[in-house]
Formats: sequence, C-alpha cells, structure tokens
Amino acid sequence: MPSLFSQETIDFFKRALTPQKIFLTVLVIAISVNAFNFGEALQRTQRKRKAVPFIFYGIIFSGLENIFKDVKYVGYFTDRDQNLDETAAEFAQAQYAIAPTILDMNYQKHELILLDCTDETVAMAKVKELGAIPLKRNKFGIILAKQRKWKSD
Amino acid sequence: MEIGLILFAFGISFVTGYLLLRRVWPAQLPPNPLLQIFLGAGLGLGVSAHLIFYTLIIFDQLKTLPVIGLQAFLLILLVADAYRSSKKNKIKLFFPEKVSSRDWGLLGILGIALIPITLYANFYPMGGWDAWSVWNLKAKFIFSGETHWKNMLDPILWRSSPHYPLLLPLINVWGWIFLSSPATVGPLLTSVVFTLLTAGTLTFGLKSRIGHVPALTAALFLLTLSYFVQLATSQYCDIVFAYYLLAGTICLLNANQQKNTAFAFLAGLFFGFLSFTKNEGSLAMLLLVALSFFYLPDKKTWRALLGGCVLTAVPTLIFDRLFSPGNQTFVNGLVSSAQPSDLYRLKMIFAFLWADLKSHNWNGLWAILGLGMLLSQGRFIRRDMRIIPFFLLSYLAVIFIYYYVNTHFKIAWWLQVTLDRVFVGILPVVIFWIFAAVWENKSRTVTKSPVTRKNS
Repeated sequence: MPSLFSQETIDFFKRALTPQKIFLTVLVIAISVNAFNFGEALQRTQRKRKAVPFIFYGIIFSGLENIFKDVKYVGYFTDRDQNLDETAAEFAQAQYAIAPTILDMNYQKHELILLDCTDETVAMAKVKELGAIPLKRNKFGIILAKQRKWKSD
Repeated sequence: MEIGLILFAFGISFVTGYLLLRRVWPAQLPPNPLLQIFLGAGLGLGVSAHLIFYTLIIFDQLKTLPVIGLQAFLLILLVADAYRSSKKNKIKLFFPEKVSSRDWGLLGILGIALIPITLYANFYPMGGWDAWSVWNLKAKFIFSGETHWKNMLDPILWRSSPHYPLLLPLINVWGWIFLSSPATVGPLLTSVVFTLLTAGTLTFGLKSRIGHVPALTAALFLLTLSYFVQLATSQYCDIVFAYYLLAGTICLLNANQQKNTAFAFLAGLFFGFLSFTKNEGSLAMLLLVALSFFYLPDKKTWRALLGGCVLTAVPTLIFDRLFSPGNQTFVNGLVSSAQPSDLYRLKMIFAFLWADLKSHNWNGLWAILGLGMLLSQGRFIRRDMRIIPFFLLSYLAVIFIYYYVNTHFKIAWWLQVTLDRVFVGILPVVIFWIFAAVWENKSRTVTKSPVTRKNS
C-alpha cells in the first residue's frame, strides 16, 4: 500500500519531533505563560502596595524591648478574637518585636502584662480587674501593667 | 549601608566556601568554574553559620569578635594556601579555568531574572508568617538575646517550632554580624541569595550534562513561576533546604559516575548542612546516606560521603541532644483515642495531594514534568539516576505517614500551609532529574581537565 507521506516528509518529522524538541517546545510555551503571569503578579502587588503600604503590626510594640531587658516572660492580653488568623498573626508579630522576651497568652501568670486592646477603655478596665498598676502607655495605645498581687512560681 | 555590610559578610562566606571547595574539587574532572562558585557560596554560608553555632555554645551568647576573628583566620589560611599552590602550579589564584562566553551569558540571564525576583521580595520586606514567627524570630533571639538566647527554646513558644534546627537563623545572624541591630533587609537578602544559588546550581549542574539551552530552560522554568518565587522569597527555610539538597545530589551523582571520593565527601558536607535546615532535612540526610550505601560504587566512596556528612551534621546532633525542647506539636494518632489517625485523615491527605498538584498555583508544572518523564523513554529510572526517584519516593512516603500519624493539627489546615513548601524543597532536584533524563542519552565520560591541580 502506498504511504500517505513521502519518505522525506517522514524523515523530516522524525528529525523535528525528537522527545527533546517536543519537551523544549512545551517548556518554552510554559515559560512564556509563567513569565506573563509573573509580570501580572508583580504589577498587581505593586498596585496593592501603592494603595495600602506594607504594615508590620509588630511595629506598635517597638521600643518596649528595651524595658524588658532581663525579663524572660511578659503576659499578653488582647480582647480580639484569638481564633482569627489575623489575631494570631498580630500576636506572632508582637512576639517578634519584643524578642528575646517571651510573650505568654497566659497573662495571669506573669508580673508584667502587655495589654493590646481594640479600645483603651477596655484595656484600663482589664488593668483594674487584675488589680494591676499601669506602668507605661506607648504612642500606639499599648499599655504595660504590673500585677500587684503577683507571686513568682 | 546596611545592605552593603550584609553583602560584605556574605561575600566573605562565598570566598571562604569557594576556596574550601577548590581544595576538595577533584583535579581529574572537567572544570566547571561557575558551578564551583555556586556550590562554594553555599558551602561558605554553611561554614559561617556553623562557626557562629560553636561560638554560641562556647560563650553562651553571640560574641561578634570571636566569630569575625575565626572567619577571618579561616579566610586568610585559605587564601595563603591557594596563593601558595597557585605559585607552585603556575595557575591563577581565582578562575584558573577559562569561563566560556556562553557561561557568562547564562550567568547574565540569571542576573536579569533576579531583578523581578528581588522586586517581588521587596514587596514583602518581613517575609511570610513563618518568617517572623519562626526563622527570623530565632535569628533575633540569637542576635539580641545575649545570654537569654536560649529563651527561644522555651516550650511556651510552641507556635514557633522551637525544636527546628538553626541553619537559616544562623546564616541571617551572620548577615547581621557587622550591624548593631537586626536589620529587616538581612533575611530578605538571604532568601534572594539562596534563590539565586539554587537557580545557579541547577543551571551549571545541568549545563555540564545536557548543554546550555536545556540548562537555561530549566532555570527559567523555575524562576518564572511566581508561586515558586513567592515561596522562595518568603524568608522560609524551604529554599535553603532546596539548595543544599540539590547541591548534595549533584555531587552525589558525580561521585557515583566518576567513582570519586572527593565528590562523595562534598555530597556528604552538603547533606550534613541539609540536616541543620529543618527536621525534614535530617530525614532527607538519613535517607540519602542509607540509599547511597547501595548506590555508590564502593565502600571507600560511601565512607567519604559519610565522613563529610558527620563533619557538618555535628551541630544538628548537638542541637538535637542538648538544646531542642522536643516537638511540642506531636500527638500520636495511632494510640490517641481523643485525636485518632482515622480513615478520613488518610482520604483527606490523598484528596488534597491530588488537588494541590493540579492547582493553578503550579501552572501545570507537575503535568509538564510528568510529560518529561514520558519523553525520557524510561531514562528517569536508569541506573546512575535511580537514587533520585528512590529518595523522593521514600522521603515523601515518610512525610505523608507523618501527616497521617501526627494528629495535633487539623489535617486540612496543616496540608494547606505546609504541603507546597515540602514540594518547593524538592522541586529543584525533581527538575534536575527530569531534565537530565530527557536530554542525557548516555552516562557521561570523564575527560581530563586542561589544568591539573596537584594540590586538590
């Protein structure tokens, strides 16, 4: 039976369609698509950053690490919903900001407590409830209090 | 100024590593100067991190002067040695072998690809969640904690994985060594540097096997994937893991093909560093050392690998035995009645795995690599490459068993936040493996180096 294609055509395709060339073609297409997507992602992020600049929440605790020199633990109180990712992220960033002091959510256990509340009146009410003395309030509204009746373990 | 001082510290490590590598690199092998640079840079950063770790133990706090002194002493020693041997053998101190213009071209393209990556990293100067919660937090404890640095190991900080080893934090601390405070830009630069080192090692590791064009394609395939770039520049340890795994694997394959103890020793050094990246790194190291026993041609070569490994795994052992508080987030689901490892968990793992591999985040990457496997016509399991699939299968099997057994975390959330990072850690090695399988038709033959380095 005569072949549909001439021997030259078959040889040409055999030479052209090597596994390496097929893979290279797929890769070049993939790289082009990836590069285009990456470019878009860059532009998207740039627009986002222009609208809302990058904010590291931990910055509102900066400066406090100097007060905590030689303090191993500080209690941490917040009235925000601790099940939210956002609150957990804020806690982690606060921990980063005051390291090497350790922030403990079990705030009652510690003499010094950082109160990071949605409203300053909530924080002051908590200070009163704990029978603590407010020691310092920074410009971001973070209050440092000291428990009066606290005893070391 | 900060950036300059950080890059200066990294530069010291690069030169140290390069000179160390040239002491070990086998003289009879074809020279690959740019691969030597990319491998040497990672070797040097690992050595700098280890020096800090040892001084941290000796002084019980970070003492910058002894660290800088030791690093300078090592560098002077290596420069003097290289100078002496270059005089003796009448070769140039640096770049004794010629770098071809095509190699420089590859390097230039990698450099250009680095620009959008650096821009992207700069949009997230503090990195991702685990950057401030785990890796950079540890670095800050070590840098600023004085004698309280060990506070970071307190089980209260279970969210920060205090049992994770310290290679990345120590590399970040090394970056800050000439600064008075822990600058945010340090860890950012570390992540960009390791992304470049991984891409460079992949490119020049492949180049000597399959040529310039496929090698460049491999690097661009990796570097244009925005999801990879996002995870690599998140200031997590996965890119560091990926680099040391790739570097060690390339040396291991060379050790096998050339029956060369020097390459086996180098592979061992990289695997030892790998064990200090994450706990998964220790697992990878143990698997690779065990599999190498059957893979390497003789006991002598395997013993060389083991020697290198022991040398750089000592800090992992010290950390694990003396400092690590143990895994605070482990519940054995096989014995726990409250949180059992049930069928739902198993189904969830497989369903998530399938959904993740075809997720648009990867842009069809795994399908393309699968196609590469088919096009390699079975070469992906050929004898000299076989250790890679064996390693990947056993490594992923253990990881998935761990996902199943440890029921401390809800499985859907846990997989969502960690599985892709496991993939990023192995991705460069997978790409290396598939590309070599597609393009490399036969095992390489050893050619004599135009320059015989008697000192090696």
